[in-house]
Amino acid sequence: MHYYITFIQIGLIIFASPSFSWNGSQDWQPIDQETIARIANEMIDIRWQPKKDIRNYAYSNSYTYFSSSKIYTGMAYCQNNPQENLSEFLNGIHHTNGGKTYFGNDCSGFVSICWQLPERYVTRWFHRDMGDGYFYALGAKGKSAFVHLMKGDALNASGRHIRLFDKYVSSGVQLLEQTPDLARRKTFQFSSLISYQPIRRELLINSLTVGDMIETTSDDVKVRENACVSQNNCRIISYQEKNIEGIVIDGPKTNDTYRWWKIKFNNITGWVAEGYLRPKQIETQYSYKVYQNNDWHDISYANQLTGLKDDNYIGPIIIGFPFPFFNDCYEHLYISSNGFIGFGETNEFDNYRNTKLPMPSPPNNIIAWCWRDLLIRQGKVYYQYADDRFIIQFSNYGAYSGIGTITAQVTLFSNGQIRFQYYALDNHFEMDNASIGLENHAGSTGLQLDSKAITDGMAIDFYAQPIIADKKRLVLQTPQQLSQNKLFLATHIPESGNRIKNLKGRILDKNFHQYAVAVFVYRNGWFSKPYLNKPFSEIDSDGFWQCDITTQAHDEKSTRIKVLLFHENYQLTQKINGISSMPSDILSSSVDCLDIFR
Amino acid sequence: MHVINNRIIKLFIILLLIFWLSGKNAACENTYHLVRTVKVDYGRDDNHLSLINTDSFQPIVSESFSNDSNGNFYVCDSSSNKILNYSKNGMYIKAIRSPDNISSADMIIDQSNNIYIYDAIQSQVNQINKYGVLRQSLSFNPEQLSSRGMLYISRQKLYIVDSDQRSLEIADLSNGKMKKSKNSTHKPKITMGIPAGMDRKYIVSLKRGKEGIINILEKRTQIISFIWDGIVSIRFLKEDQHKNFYIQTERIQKDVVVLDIHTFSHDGQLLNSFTIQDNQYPYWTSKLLSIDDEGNIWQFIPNVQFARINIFNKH
Repeated sequence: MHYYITFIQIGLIIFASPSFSWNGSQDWQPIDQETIARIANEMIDIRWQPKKDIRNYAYSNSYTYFSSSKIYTGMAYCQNNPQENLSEFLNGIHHTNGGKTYFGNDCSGFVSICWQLPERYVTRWFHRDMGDGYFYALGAKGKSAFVHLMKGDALNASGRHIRLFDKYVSSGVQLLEQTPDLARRKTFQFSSLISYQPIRRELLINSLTVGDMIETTSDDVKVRENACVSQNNCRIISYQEKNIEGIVIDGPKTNDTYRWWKIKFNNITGWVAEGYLRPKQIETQYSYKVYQNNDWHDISYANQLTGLKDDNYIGPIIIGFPFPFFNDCYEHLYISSNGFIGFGETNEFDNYRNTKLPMPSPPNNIIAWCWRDLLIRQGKVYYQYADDRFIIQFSNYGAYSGIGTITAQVTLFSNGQIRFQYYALDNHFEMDNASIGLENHAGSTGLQLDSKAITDGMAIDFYAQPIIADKKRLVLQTPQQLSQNKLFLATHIPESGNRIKNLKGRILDKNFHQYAVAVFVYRNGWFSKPYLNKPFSEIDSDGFWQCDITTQAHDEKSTRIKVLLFHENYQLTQKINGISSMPSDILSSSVDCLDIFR
Repeated sequence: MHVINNRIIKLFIILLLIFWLSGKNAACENTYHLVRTVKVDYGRDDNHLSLINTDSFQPIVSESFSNDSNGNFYVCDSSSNKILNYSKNGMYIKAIRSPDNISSADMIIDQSNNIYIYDAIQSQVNQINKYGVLRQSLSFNPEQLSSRGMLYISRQKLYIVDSDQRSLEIADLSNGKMKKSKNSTHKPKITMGIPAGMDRKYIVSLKRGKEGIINILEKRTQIISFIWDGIVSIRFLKEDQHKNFYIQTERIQKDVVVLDIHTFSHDGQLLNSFTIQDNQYPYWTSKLLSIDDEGNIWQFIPNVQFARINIFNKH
């Protein structure tokens, strides 16, 4: 916001808050989007109570009254200079003697703090210095609906206001902002964002790099001859439609306030502004755990779904949160009458002829809890929204042939975890020929479990492998982001071809000494690591484990790693020495599994 | 005889005309037209709205407005502690003085014409009667809400609905009184979906750029999806007294954002889609439209020199 200050205010600042102020971050350095959002959310969610009643300066001659007997949520709005970050604000309100105060920050201070800029920027400076090193434009003013926004991007109206983008929601965008009188999260529609220009901070961790796969994010994306808009040699050489894939072959260049990448599309190569591109992630992988779970929570009191009959599907059903599945997120699903749940394109979602998983032929993009020729008969289907999950229950669901029924639940968790819970297989319900597992949108990746092993009370948890690959490094999610049911994880994965560093990980269960870790790498077949005769890795006193996974030659080709967790007394009787697939009895004996692609 | 024939012909023509007009009306039953634009000046008079306009931030005008059960329109001007009241025809009626120090994140009016103002600073909802007398205030803990939300009333219960379409039950409004919900005495109950009508919850979603999706949760779930090229936002607005419901969408078309209202019958048939031509909201607002109980559309646009109320009636 406008850098506005009077001599009177200077005097007040000096006497009111002499030692606590935010004057910019000391080091201008890379930051990730989650950190930007975390700083913002901390200022929005803080619950505070002033020590004494205060009249806090807001803007112009306006003061906001805050009572010492009330708890407020969100840091106070204040156009005072210098600005305050959260700790400085809390220090102020916890020690105030009351009266007129100058605690808090304003919208541009809020964004400057979240972006950890070296100094406080006001909205006019955000506009003036666009593309000069700290931030760049994603699109023109009023184009927020057309570009691809990422968490932590900002929308700036020069001389007016600036706010941070948090996420897309159905009704528009959820923004994080400092406004009179308290910082807040709020949803806005695009019609009310015509005065705002979408911008992005420089030095974002995990931003695009050369070699990344991308896709376009809106129709009529302009591909230019050069990385610019304002000169003669910047002519538009092509328009690309939405969701067109390409590969980054050069860049970035910052010019005319935008950041540009040279993209090789199928039919043409040229420069595109970053705001119209989004990285295409490499496939997520899944591991799973099979276990006995008698903790059944019946939801037959919840919402009922009707419309399922022989060989059909229903949907789209709103999940209630963006559900990550393989390399995409879905907000809706379809339920097939034949024992699977699907996302996206509904081709063959009524298919009763189950195949093995994965299989390129449709249906694809599915979660198969019992894919075979089923018929609902007298059964019922219910669903329920819970805090972090969406539950579908199939009660007394029949088969097309045979009299048996199955009662089971499929639960989708917001972190991508999936749970199958088989409550009862009545009257000899036949599971033997069913397909159980997952498959991605192309049918190229997935996994299938042995359906014969399914019995009453059995549960299967699938974990989205916590690896986000961007070609140059693998970033692991923190243990907090993992499901609490996950027993172990990898903490360091050496790049393929690296013959020095070990694969490292940690067992999260406090009884880590009761487990054994076995690592296998794939290079024209599966091999035990570190040695054929020493298939288990050592676990140290804190539950950390590590393993030398180098191979004799062509180490760079060993891109697949499988790590299995067993109970400590498990005996690996079979030698794993170049076999094409891991034996199912070994897999089913493990208590947890990591599939790593590097 | 000739006179009689003439009369018969005239009568026949009149009947034909009536028949044609009634047919035309039936065909246009659910289309809208702009019947009135009301200019609201910024200033200090009773019938003016306050505009907080410093040199240093986005001018702030009211973004809280709603209709009562009679179709009257209300704009909450919290910076000067008043509520501007307009008739169902858009005529200015009066300014209702509201209690001091109430900010308004949203407002809504119940069947008894009590006004509810959501004060996000104090984390409370205030019930005000039509004379501006504060009848009751209820505080609540906003921690469970993912964002500052909007007020909804259904089955004599007051809810705040956040960005994720989760509704927090705030109060019971039976007999025109606002009582803290039993659920909210300890940990308030937050559930998925926007309560509306007698026994329904609506959840809306979209496949960005392609399709709008509506799930209606009742005894048996209704699933509605409609192809809407370029769709970028979708929002449930209201179920009216005829049980029609209204969905607001935005879509991108070439290089502009288009604002539409879709009317659905109770059983989910799309009756009408109407484009609001004027959707440039230059000032701060998170609420674009309000629907009255007859299904008429009320648009409040805080513009640069003055605010505008556009009233779109059904034919």
